[in-house]
Amino acid sequence: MNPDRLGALGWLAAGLVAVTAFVIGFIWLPSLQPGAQGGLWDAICRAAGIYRQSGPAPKATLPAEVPTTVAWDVGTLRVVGSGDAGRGAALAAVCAGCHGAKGISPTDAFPNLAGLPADVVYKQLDDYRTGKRQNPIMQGMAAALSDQKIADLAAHFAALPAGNPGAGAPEPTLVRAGSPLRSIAPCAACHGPLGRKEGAPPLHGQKGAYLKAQLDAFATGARHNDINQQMREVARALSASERDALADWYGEGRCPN
Amino acid sequence: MASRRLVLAHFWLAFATFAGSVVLGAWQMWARSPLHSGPADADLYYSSVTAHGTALAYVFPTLIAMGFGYAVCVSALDRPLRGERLAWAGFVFVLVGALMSLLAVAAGNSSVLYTFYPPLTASPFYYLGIVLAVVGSWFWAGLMLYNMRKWREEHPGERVPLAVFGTVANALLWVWTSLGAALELLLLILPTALGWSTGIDAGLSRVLFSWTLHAIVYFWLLPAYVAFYTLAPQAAGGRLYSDRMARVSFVLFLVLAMPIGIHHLFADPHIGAGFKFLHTVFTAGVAIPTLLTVFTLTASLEIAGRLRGGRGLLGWVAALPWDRPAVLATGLSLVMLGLGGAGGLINMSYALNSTIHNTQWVTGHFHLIFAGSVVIMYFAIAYELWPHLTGHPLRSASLACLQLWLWFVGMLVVTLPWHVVGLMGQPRRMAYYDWSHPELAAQGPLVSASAVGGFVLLVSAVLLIVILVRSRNGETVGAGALSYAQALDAATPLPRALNSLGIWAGLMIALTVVNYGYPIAQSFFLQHNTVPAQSVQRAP
Repeated sequence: MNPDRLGALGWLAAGLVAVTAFVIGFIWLPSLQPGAQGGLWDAICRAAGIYRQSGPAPKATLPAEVPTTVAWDVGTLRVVGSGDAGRGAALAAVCAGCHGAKGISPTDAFPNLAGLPADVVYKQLDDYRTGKRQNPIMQGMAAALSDQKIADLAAHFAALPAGNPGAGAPEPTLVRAGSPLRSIAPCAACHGPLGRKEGAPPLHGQKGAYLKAQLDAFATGARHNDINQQMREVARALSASERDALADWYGEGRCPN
Repeated sequence: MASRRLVLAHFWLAFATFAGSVVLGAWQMWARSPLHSGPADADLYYSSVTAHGTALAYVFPTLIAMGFGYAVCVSALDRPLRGERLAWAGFVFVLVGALMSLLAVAAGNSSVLYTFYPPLTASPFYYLGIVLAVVGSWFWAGLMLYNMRKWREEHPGERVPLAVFGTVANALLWVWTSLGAALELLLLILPTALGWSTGIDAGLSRVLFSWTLHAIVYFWLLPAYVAFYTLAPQAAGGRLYSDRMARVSFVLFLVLAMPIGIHHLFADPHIGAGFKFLHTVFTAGVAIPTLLTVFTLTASLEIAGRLRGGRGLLGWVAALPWDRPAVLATGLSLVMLGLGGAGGLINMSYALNSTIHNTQWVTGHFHLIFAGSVVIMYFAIAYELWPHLTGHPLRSASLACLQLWLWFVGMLVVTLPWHVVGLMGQPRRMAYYDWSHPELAAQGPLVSASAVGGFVLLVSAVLLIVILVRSRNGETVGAGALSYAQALDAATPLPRALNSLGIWAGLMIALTVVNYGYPIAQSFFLQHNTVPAQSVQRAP
């Protein structure tokens, strides 16, 4: 065959493949997706990654549960970073009754706050304020706080010296290795020292009884202000005895008072 | 050969980097296998993985492509290299860049792995080093283009030698494909690493990296293909079956390498499903130049085998001179290319990918294709060039064949078990597996076996260095000029489009715009894309 005609055929074939691929990928497949609605243009937009509201809103659906209104975007971190420990110390007078004058709580039921990173305290206070985390005392305390006051309080507690962790029993495997087959990440990957995620508190030296209560609350879903459900997922996958062992280990011998 | 020292400098630095990285690779495999007692130091492990990947993905193949490119340029065009000073400058850029990056990794401040994984951020020196190395390689790409253009001006109407045509196609591909990662580093990652910004658009970073990530594989591959077409038939004593087919395959790689990278982002929610499907289709298109190459190469080897007296359907295979390193490497490379290519079809399928995404299968795949079929051809290239570069014969061909066999066997022992454990669900990029767990225990023996393969590869790498060093001495021989395979269709007129690359480079850019334009543009109006950066640097 004439090479020129062969070349033209090649171009034609390549063009046909490209057009067919476009029709399949951007029109046919998206129109087959479950729940696909709307016309041709909607299908193309969905396939390109543009999701727009079209048609009347569906009625009588349950509102999606939003675990928290705190998102760790750059704006939030800027607010957290703007906290003033001095102003926070003045505001914190009211906290001392339960959490101790230096952020070390006198009783097992209330957590230590001394030395917690600012993002940790910021998120919990904001969640109490918005009702995403429920506790009759704390919701009342947080209700009237502004973003700036929350940031100031967080800066104050972050500046207090944390209690010294003491020596304890051998470390449970879950702390550093997690349990891969159950999709349980190591505690230390988010809570330190392997890694640190915003909002995840260091656990060493926290009250064992408090930790136990929180793990149980995550497991039952009574506490549900973890952004991506990561603590609920983990706590549900842990057995009751594993939860106790972890809370004991983190709390044991490490309460400074 | 002209520019001997330049080419030798590139090859020595390349193989020195390579040998060091193979040591790290072998250690990594052992450290996370059941042969190692208890978990390895995770910090050390990820530093090692980062160094291994950075050295072997950015430094080693780039230096081989550069060194081989200069050698091709002076020998196939049969005249000195124009702009040798700039070539040395490019070499220094790569050397300094590589040192900067690897020192930052060694300091433990840059364990982000060679694919960067934003929002992780490393020491700025790590990224700056990579930028320097890439800029150094752009010197090379510019010189390749310049030398071809000058030659064409002085030889109007003549056919550009195939080896030069393939090398310049690769240079064009590299400049365009390295742009994605360069933009990612300069516009997104470096400002964050330098502390000028606290957040990073991780989605856009990943899209830009995918721009580079798949086509870089073809940048690694094309020197091997140049060797397939021009050195292997010559070493086997035959002819290249079709010069035109070879050129078609090079230009198709140029066009199809780019608009397919999103098949690395099948699990990324910010990319529309339509683009993922489109990239799957274009990735499948790469099968065309690959199969053309397998056909042409097999036909060329058959010509050689029959000239040597091979008879019958497969008798020509046995008649081939398998004791010559370039021929043996080509055969072994084709076997690995076949196995790895078959696995690649799974990776690039939008639906099948979900079964193996981010498992050890993927690591197995790219080691089989790159470290296997491509790198074994780098060895063959070095063995073919060495007598011309050093003036001494290779000491010895049989030792070189042993080295190639060890590399082949080691690579299969490493990668086949990885594919299997990947199918069993083993995630990649893990420093530690709990082998005491009953469900993971079944993967233990396979992982141990592959770790043994890692040490076979280490022995092969040491042997390579021994052969190259030994061959610097010995009796002096006039090796003559490096010669390339003659094509059967050398006298047939060549269509103009197959003697120049402009139209194909244009098509490459146009297809990139179609397939990447919207996925990149959307980052300018998607909300909440910027996430806080996570520094991996150690606290002072």
